[in-house]
Amino acid sequence: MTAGTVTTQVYRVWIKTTPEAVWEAITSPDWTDRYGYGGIPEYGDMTPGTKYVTNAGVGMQAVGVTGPIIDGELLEIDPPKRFVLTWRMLMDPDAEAEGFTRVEYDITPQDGGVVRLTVTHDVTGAPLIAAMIDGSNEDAGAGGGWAWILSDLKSLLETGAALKS
Amino acid sequence: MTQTQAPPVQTTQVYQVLITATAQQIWDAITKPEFTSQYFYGARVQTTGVAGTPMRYVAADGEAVWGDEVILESDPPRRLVVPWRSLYDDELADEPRSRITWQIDEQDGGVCLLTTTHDQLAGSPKTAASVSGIGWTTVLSGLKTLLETGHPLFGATS
Repeated sequence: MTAGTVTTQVYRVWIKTTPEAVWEAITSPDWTDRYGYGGIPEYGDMTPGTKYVTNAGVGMQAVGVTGPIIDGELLEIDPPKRFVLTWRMLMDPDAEAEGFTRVEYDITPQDGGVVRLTVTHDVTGAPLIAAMIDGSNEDAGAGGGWAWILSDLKSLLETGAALKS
Repeated sequence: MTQTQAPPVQTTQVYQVLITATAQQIWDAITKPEFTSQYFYGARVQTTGVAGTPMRYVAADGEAVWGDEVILESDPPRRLVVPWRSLYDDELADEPRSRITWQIDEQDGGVCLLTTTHDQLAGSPKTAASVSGIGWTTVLSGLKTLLETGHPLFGATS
């Protein structure tokens, strides 16, 4: 796909684990800083309508990034099946100006102890975010987007260790 | 699925997965039957991996042929380009050939980025729908699990 032209991006990964483990990994600050870009979210009491921020995690702090990196609002919380939130990137003024996008996590148990995790990111009107999350900016050091995050999450849950990249 | 805003099926589909493995291990996983049988719906691949020679997928029963094409381009262990026609389903088999490109890029930390591009699907909407979503993502998740843990993702649970 050409960067930024698909306004809703869908990523799927199949993980040998439980729905509860995936739920923890995407919602608990104990887990969210261990894979992908990391980050420590403040989701409060996890109720719809909660305004949240995600603060820079250990890895980002090590390279001088501090303070909130993402903010938004929790929309749907249905553990361990579905988590929906709005999502605005605060690390770059131009990306922040694109406003709130929408992220949906759907966790579906499959036969044989396998879980399907589907991430649907609606980036309508947010071409910079679209390019970040589809990995187009990886050569510029921006990381590999959702493919990287989900690959890392899968390694962490299946092997106990994240990727070393 | 609860998605209401999913995009239409793409005629060029790109799937990326990062795997803790060497490029050669990933190449072998794509081109050797003892690997494909553990993540590609049980199919055993038959190929030398050389351009201009056949690449076949034979079902677990050892008889049904699921794919039978000639490799277009091969640069082991980095790039393999092969046409695709789904012989396991009559309706899909009637559609024109599409194309699969396996691209393996080494990164830091003993990690490779595997990019699987399935394109030339404009004239093959049923094939495009068949491989999107569940099709390729299960295969690639299975390949990653096999290489990182030594066990298949689907099948017997430990």
